[in-house]
Amino acid sequence: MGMGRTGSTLARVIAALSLAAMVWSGAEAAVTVTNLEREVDLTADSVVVASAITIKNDKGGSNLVDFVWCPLELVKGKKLIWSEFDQQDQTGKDATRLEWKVEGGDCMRVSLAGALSPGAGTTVEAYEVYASELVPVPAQIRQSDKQMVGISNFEVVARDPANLVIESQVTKFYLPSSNVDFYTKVKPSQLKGKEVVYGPYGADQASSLVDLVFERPEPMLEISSVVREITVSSWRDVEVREHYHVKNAGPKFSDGFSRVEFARNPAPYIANQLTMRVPRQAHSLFLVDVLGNITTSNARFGQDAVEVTATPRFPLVPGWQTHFTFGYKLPKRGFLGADPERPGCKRLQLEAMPAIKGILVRNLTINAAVPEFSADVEGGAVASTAFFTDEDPFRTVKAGTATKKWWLDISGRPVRTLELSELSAEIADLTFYVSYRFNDIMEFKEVSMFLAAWLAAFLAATLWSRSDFTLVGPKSKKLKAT
Amino acid sequence: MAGGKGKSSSGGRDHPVRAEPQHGSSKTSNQEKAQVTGNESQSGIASTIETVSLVLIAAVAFAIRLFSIVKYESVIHEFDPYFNYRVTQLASEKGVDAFWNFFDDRTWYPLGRVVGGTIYPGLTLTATWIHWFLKAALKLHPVEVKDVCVMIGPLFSSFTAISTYLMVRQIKGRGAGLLAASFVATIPSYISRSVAGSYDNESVAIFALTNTFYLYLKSIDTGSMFWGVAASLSYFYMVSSWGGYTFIINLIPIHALALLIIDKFNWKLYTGYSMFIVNGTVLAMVLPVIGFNAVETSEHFSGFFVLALMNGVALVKYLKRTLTREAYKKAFRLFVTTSVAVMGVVSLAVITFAMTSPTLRWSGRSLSLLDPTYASKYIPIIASVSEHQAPSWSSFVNDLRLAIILMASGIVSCFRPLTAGSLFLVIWGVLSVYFSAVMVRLMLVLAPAACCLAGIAMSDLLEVLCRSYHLAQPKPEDAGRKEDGQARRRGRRRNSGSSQQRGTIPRPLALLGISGAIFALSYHLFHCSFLGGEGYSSPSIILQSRTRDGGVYIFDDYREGYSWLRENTDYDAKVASWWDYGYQTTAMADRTVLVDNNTWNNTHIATVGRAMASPEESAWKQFRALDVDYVFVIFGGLVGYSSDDINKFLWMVRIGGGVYGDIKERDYIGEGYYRIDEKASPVMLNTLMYKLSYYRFAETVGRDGQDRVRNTKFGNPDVKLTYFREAFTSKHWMIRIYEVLEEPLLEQAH
Repeated sequence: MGMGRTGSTLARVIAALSLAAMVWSGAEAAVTVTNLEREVDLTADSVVVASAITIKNDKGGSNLVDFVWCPLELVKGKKLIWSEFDQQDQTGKDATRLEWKVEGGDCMRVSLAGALSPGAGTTVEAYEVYASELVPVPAQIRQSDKQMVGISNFEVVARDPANLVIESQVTKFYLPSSNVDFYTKVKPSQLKGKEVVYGPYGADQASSLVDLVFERPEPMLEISSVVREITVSSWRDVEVREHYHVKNAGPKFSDGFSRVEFARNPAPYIANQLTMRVPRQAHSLFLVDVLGNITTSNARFGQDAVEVTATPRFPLVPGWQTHFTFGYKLPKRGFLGADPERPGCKRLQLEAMPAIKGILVRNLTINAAVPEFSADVEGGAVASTAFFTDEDPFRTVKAGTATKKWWLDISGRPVRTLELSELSAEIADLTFYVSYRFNDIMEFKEVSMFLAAWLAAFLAATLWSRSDFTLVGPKSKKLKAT
Repeated sequence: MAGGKGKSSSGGRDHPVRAEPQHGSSKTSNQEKAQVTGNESQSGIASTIETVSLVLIAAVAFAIRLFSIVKYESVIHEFDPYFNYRVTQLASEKGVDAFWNFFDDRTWYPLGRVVGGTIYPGLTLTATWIHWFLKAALKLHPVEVKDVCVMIGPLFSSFTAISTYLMVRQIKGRGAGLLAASFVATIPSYISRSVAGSYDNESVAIFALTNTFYLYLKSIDTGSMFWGVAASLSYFYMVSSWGGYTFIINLIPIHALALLIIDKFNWKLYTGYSMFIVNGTVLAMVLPVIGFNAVETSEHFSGFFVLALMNGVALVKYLKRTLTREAYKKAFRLFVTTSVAVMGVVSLAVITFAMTSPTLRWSGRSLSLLDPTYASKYIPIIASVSEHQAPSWSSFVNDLRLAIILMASGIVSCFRPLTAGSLFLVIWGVLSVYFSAVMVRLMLVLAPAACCLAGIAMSDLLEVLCRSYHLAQPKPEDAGRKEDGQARRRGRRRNSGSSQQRGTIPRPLALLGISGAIFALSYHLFHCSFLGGEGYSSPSIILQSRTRDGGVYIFDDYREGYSWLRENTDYDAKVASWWDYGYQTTAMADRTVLVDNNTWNNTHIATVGRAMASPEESAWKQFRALDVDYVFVIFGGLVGYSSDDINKFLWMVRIGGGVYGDIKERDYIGEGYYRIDEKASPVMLNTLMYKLSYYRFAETVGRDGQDRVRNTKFGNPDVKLTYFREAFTSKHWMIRIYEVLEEPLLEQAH
């Protein structure tokens, strides 16, 4: 292995140490990556790192069936939200989704689509989403200024000597604009339009943390928290209410907000519109806050989704925040059905992400309430990978139970709660389910309550009309009668 | 339900029959009434129609008030309701104990306000308990406090319709009762204060008012202690709901005094009245907001005076009945001498007591009723409130419509015959006309009186018309049906045959009259629904205008501004504004304010008024001394919203000048009036209010642009701010919020 070639003493020490560790732990030898090409997208709500990993089996003798990928070693100090692996086939047209499982705490063992014979190579594409760590630079601007943001301490020389031997690598940053104020220069590096390229670096390149400061025209919106209350009832449609706390995390205005300037020259990083997308079956939409209706929303009922564009009460200037509630109803058909895994149970499955798309969600709470007198309530996130499920190594998923009183509830209905953090719009197909056992006889609870109320009123009226509350003795009553 | 009605109706039917021998004034009208009141006993169909009509009237009363929800949304309206809503939220979240102990440290900074002891709790507790009932008993858990509060007005208007019906039935019979109920259900003057969302004291108080009157009339009619106590309980509810209870506690003694004067004293009156006054006063004293005021202030003295007089009269009557003529004469002389002496001493004591207070123990608002010029002379804060202004003539016609026209003839009807009940209506009507002429707000007290009188007038009119119609073509079964009636009534009816003939008109004329009446009533209803929908449905925090293509354009600036304050300022920030917006700021923006609509501390309001009327630097010092972080003004100049702060500025100057000598009204008056154009006074153009309103306005409308409220150019287009910084301006510039800087901006300071 090419470890002996390292130039610096420090690297030699590290190599020796890790070699020793490998020998000591008896682990297998590191996999050789002949080329690592990373593309870091800084335009989205989170940091998306797409890596093309060219792997070569130089173990000599044995087939290579899998490799270990430690994202937190390669991109230091960032919070991983999501990752997927695809392997290109020979033609380069089709890709196979690769299976992976958690290895040693926070690494992943990725199984290749087929065993790699000695000497052969292949390209695996890793798609990773990290929580955004863009910060406004400077922290305060004037309303007429441009919004500059920065990312700091990004490692452009990926190293994971324990698992990977990276012979050559390139890191490209895609920026939202070509207006780049600053980037750390690590030769060779260059700025091309909206792109900053670091590399190619050889295996002997020293570790280099870089900072970038660039203009971001889009608002730095984030959903600080959203609580999704989902209520399943016997007689009504599924109700969904989402309580948002939305924030613009951009640089604050040092000179206050001027309406004149906003009208004359609205800065693009002031958010004046939010878009929600809900399933096309959704109806009875509403958008309110604590003061009442937010009267500036527009819904478009399309073929595959209902799209709502809403103007918040006030433009979300950097540093400002707002709270509101968005609600809608969904028919049960298509969302609620028999649970295939638990016979006799009903299962509601909905998308886990809230209706506002394209914005980073810092905290998401899902409270799914099922009809009163349900039993065996279970629920959780459903994803194609281990992320957001109980096995997720990168976060703790809090699940719990509660009760909630809703229309005509006597004791309250069981609620399954699920708390997730750091969700990006770049995540695909994250759903959650709640499954419960419900005796259909209890569907008549509401009906019998109405009947009982009516009967009680009838009895009371009858009693009232039949009884005499006059405060007179029997004698005088007789007198009155005559 | 039907049984209950039958039971209470017997009292109504008995009344004219029994009352007749006592005063025996006009037989004819008594028989007419007997006929009217007897309708129900004639057939079950009539009684069913009556019940159904009443239910429908109650439903109409409810539904006509929902325009505001349909046109706008389910939202709390205007100013005071926001405070009531805030307190209701507290009571329903933290319990009634927390409500009584509520010390509000988020208003009247730095003084705070003892809310539990200074609030009329009736409305808030009613809403709290209704909300609790909906949740606990009806299991409607998602119902929000806000929606209960919004619906209180319509709900209690239905109750008012029912209690009005009961009252007028008590006085004049069923037909008049139904007509009065239908008038009161739809009268615009009352709609204006009880539309859905208008969550104010008046919306429950009018029900309490009519209900108290009904129960009181019932008690002096039956002489039953039960009804007397019921009346005092209803009065207790009124006292706990609205400061206007003083109207009841003066009207009822006046009525009793009138009965004494026209020598209609009887033991029923004595029982009913004394039960009411004694119980009612004791109950009223229970409330922290009233306390000993119920026996110590001049508003309440008339009740005790009449009670003492009534006891004197009762004693004299008793003596007259029991003693011989000689002894009675002596006793009477003795009694008169002693009572004159005692009364002299007592009145001397009372007068001395009253003299201890500069206003003779009258409250400012009551004094301004007795002397309409009082407030404008001494208390500008009372005079500044728009609802304390005298109404215009048009508002009488607009808000009462048919009722004000029929009211006069209703008063005439009440004298045929004059019973205790009809006398009451006459006094109520006449007094409330006076009061409403002084204060537009008290149109609300006039409205039910006008409705009762109008109902009676319309009922009499319809009765004459219908009788004329029947008499002209007597039906054979008509006589047969009368056979079923009681023999007593038939006997009297025969006597009055001639008088019936006298009060009739030809049949075609009767038909014309009936159709005319139906037309008038329908048109009245149409007008009322129109006013309810167009005139009185606006929540005033949301404004609507029509776009050219017929759509609706919404100005939601108030909520935009309050929402901004709520979201983007520190929770403990102090916000200064004119007092009109105090309740809204504490409720909607949840920020501490200096002054609010409670207006209990004139000096504090004057402090804010003075700061607004001061030059920027001086205002900054004043606001800094009060820890103010944000100042906001309401500005209508861009979109032509006329109730903005520049138009209210004269009150800031007057109230501020009333306390602080350095504010002089004449300094602010340009040529002739408070103007902001080129002819404005330099002091005016230099005030903080002017600067905050017009800061950078010229950049939007141009230097030669116009202020669309005043329709003039504005005097100083180049407003520079050194001590304040624009923090937020709403979309249509209606609410402009400024940050009070810690230190002046260096580049502009000099």
